[in-house]
Amino acid sequence: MTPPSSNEVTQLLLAWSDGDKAALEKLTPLVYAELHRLAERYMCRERPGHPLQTTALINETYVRLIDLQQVRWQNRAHFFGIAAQLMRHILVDFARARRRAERGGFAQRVSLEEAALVAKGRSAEFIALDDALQSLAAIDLRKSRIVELRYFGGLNVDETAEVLQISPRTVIREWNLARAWLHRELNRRVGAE
Amino acid sequence: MRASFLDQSCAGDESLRLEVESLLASDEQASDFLNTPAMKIATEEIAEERALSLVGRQLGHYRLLSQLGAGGMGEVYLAARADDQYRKQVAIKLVKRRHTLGFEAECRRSHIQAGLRRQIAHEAEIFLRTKTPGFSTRHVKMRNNKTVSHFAQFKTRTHSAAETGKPGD
Repeated sequence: MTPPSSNEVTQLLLAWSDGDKAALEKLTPLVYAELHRLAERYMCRERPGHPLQTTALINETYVRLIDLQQVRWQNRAHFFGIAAQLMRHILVDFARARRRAERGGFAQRVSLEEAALVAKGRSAEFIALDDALQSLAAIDLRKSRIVELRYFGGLNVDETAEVLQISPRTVIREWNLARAWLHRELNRRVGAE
Repeated sequence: MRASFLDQSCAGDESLRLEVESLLASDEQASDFLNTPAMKIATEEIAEERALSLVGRQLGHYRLLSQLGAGGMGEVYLAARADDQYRKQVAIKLVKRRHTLGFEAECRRSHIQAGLRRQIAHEAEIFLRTKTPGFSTRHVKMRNNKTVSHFAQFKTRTHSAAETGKPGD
C-alpha cells in the first residue's frame, strides 16, 4: 500500500471538519499506522538515559500526517484545533477497543504478570475523561477546548494560546482550573459507581 | 492567609466558598493528572503490547505472522517458513506459558517433568483433532528436545504452484 501523501491527509482532515463522516473512516487507519510506527521507534529508543521526547514525537506525527506548508496559508490555528479534535476522537475509540479486547479475553491470553501490565492500561482514562469533558464543555466551552488541545492534541501552552487567540497566561490559569474540575468530576464518578 | 482571602472574595456566599475550596483540594490532589499527553500514553501502550506479542518472532523454521485465536490453554498463530523453503502457511498452536514455562525456556530444557509433557501431548491431541477454519487436518508436530512444544496444521489454500506442501521441521 502506498502511504498517503500529507496533502491527502490535510484534505481529509478539512473534509472531516466540514462534517464528512467518510473522511474519518479514511483518517483513522492512517493515524493508527502512525501511532504504531511511533511505538516501534519508542521500543528501540526508550531505555535509561534516552527518554523519548514527547513534544518531538507529537510534532513529528503532525509533520508526517499533515502538509504544514499548505496549512500555513489556510489558517494554521484553526487546523490544529481540528487535528486535536480528531486525535481525541481516535484515541477515545482506541481506548474503547482496548477495553473490549480486555473483556473479550485478551487479558487471559497472557501470563499473570503480563496481564497486570496490560490491565493497568492508562488509556482507559480517555473514555471517562471524554465524557467529563463534554460536561465541562456545557458549562465552559473554552476550558474544555484547552484540555482537548493540550491533552489530546499535544499542543504546548503557546500553541494553545495561538489556536484560541488568548494569552499564554490565560491558558495556564484556565488549564489549572479545568484540570482541578475534571479531576474532581472523575473522582465523583468513580465514587458513584 | 488563604482563608481570609476566601472570606473576602466570596463575601459571605457559602456555596461559592465551598465550590472554591473543593476545587482547591482537587488541585492539590491532581499532581500528575493529564500531564502526559494522550498520544504518548497510547504510543507507550502499543509498544508494551507489541513487546508482549509473539507476532514477528521465529519458532524453528517458522515466523509467526499473526494471531488467529486465543483460548484458555494456548494461542494459535498463522505462520510461514522464515527461510522461504516452502511458501505454505501453517497454523501453530503454542501452549500457554504457565503450562510450558515459556516456549523459549522450554527449547533449552532437555528434561521436562513428566506431568508437563503429558499436558503438552494432550494439548497437541486436542489441537490436531480440532479443525481450524481454512486449514486442513494434515498436520505436523514440531519437536524440540524430544518434547512436542508446538504443533501445526497446514493451510489448505496454496500460494504458489511451486509449493511442495511438505511439512517442515
